Amino acid sequence: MDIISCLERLCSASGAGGISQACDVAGKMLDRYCEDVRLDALGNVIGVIKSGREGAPVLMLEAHIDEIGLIVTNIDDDGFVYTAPCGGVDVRALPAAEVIVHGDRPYYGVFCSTPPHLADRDKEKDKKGELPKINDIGIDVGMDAKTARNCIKKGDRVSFCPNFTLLNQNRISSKALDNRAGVAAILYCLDLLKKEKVEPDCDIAVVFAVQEELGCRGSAVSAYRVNPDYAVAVDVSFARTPDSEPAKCGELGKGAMIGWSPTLNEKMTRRLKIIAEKHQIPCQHEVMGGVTGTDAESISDARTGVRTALLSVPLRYMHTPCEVADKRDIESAARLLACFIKEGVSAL
Amino acid sequence: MIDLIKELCGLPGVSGREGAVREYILEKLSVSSAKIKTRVDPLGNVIAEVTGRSRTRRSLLLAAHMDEVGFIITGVTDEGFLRFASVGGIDEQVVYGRRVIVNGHPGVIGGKATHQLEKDEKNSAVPLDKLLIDIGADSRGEAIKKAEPGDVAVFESGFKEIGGLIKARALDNRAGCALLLKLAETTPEYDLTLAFTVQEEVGLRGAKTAAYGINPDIAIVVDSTTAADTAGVPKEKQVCRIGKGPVISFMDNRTLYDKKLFDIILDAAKTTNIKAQVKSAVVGGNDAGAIHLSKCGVRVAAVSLPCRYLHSASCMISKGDLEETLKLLERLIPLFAAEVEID
Repeated sequence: MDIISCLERLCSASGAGGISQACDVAGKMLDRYCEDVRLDALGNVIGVIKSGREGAPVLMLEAHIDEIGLIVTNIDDDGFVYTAPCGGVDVRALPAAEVIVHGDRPYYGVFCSTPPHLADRDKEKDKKGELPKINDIGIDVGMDAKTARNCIKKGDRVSFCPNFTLLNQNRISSKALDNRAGVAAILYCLDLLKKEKVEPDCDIAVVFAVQEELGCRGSAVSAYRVNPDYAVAVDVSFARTPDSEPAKCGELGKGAMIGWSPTLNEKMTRRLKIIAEKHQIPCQHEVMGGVTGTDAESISDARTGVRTALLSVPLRYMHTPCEVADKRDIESAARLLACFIKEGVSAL
Repeated sequence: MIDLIKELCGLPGVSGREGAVREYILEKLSVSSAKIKTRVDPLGNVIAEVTGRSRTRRSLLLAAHMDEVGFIITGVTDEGFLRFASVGGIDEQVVYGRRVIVNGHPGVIGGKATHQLEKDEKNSAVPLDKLLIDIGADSRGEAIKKAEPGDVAVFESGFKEIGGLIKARALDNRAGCALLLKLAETTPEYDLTLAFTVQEEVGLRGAKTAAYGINPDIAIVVDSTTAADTAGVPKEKQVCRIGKGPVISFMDNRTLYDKKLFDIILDAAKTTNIKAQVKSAVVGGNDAGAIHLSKCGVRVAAVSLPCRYLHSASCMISKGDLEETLKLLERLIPLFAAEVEID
């Protein structure tokens, strides 16, 4: 499996606030490794690889498949489309951003911006570079009100335009790398296991969960259904940029980040660390004093509780249309997961 | 004309680095069926003397600028990020989260994640001097193989047709260049001089030397102007609207336009049923500002294309406006060259 081409297909599909395109693409990819891949009531993609052993424990590998986006709330009398965010959209990246409005078919649009020639007229409002609120920025879809209202309805979803690019052979820039990077890591892990003909000591349930950006909702119901004994969530986390605090970030290209938090299972976390050292897989450690803010929490408190660990792919410019990740970090996460499975969960 | 614009917008041409656009324009002029004498002046302006079917009574200049706003690399950090300044007026609001092309290499402009911002930072545009371009390099050494201080960058943004609209980078003012090229495709009714100017976005500098060299009696500046007919802008502040035809200016920040020419243009539009609109605010400025003060003075008019989101990655113009502007310019050439009295 080629990580770059897999990611390009994953990232180019839309998965904003309940759009199933990305689920379909990921589901087809998962089909190669699992016998029956299904969608549940919320749209989560779930596939199971049976170990064939009676009473084998279940390990859930999870990555959220959704991405940040917006939802249409109104169309004004000039045909401009107004939205509310689905997830923590970075408003700083919206003026002049190119989007797809998922109406009766996909329509191209641009978030409105005021040209500098007029900026001085709004000086009072403009002080300290204050940006308008998301729900006050219209999207220009090049239509008059009548056409726009015909083609686009309240509740239609809006996602960033596909823009997958390589900055060099390892650095990838795209929208939705949060969290297609995690999805790709799990798929690559399954590919490694298949190639090496690994016979795991557990059943593996793979979940690509929806609605993480809206509050980790998909993972909660899928964890209930899968009812795993162990789970590893794979998500993205902050990669350092020159303006950020080094203590709060990982480094791009230095390997997957193993999450340490009171909400995560210590034994599994330590096991990941030991395996990384043993197999010389580059990794970093991300220590959090409280909740991780990922699906790891909603999985770990499903039913009577699930032992859960968290692996993260470092990511720059999270929640903008130009997120940047490093292929080597996705490989590292995949190899670490594969080695973790090879060593077996029965020892836990 | 749409293909012309598509090709012109695909070329980088930040002020002072208009080479690729200039070469393209010279090539197009060389294959015209009209008799054209071209020269490039020391600043890089393309000046084309087009022989018409008839001699003109007054020398007529049509000018459009080739350059576009963009970025110039001012430094490379030890970690391999590029510092930059804007070339021309780029609002900091439209820069964060955009993709750029530096010497053919893709880069992105971003900073720390929204999750890591203080509350008052979350809703504020990041000043340009706080932003960096990430070209995927991990060190200064790696970065300078791709870009060095003094190199320039442009927004990366594809050409798109959306119904009756066109979206692209640099429509300001490749659209104007395309209109002038269109006028020179075949022999025009009267002799005319075309100027494709440089450095408009950094102070109308190319137009100054071009006008000096050409010394016209009348000049029509064909540029793109702010259409603020967009979401949330009150009607009285919209300046002009796309789809309502070429924009005729009576005054902007650099020029008080010749009243007689202004009246002739509006009258010509009216009598020939060409759509036109009057710019309804005194904002911006264009090459006319330099041209009308050349030598002993030049009578100037501005015929502009309404353009939304000027100076951003996603400029938008209307195909209908392009057609109407071309028709209006074709009508104005004989009027200004010979037919009407202007003194």
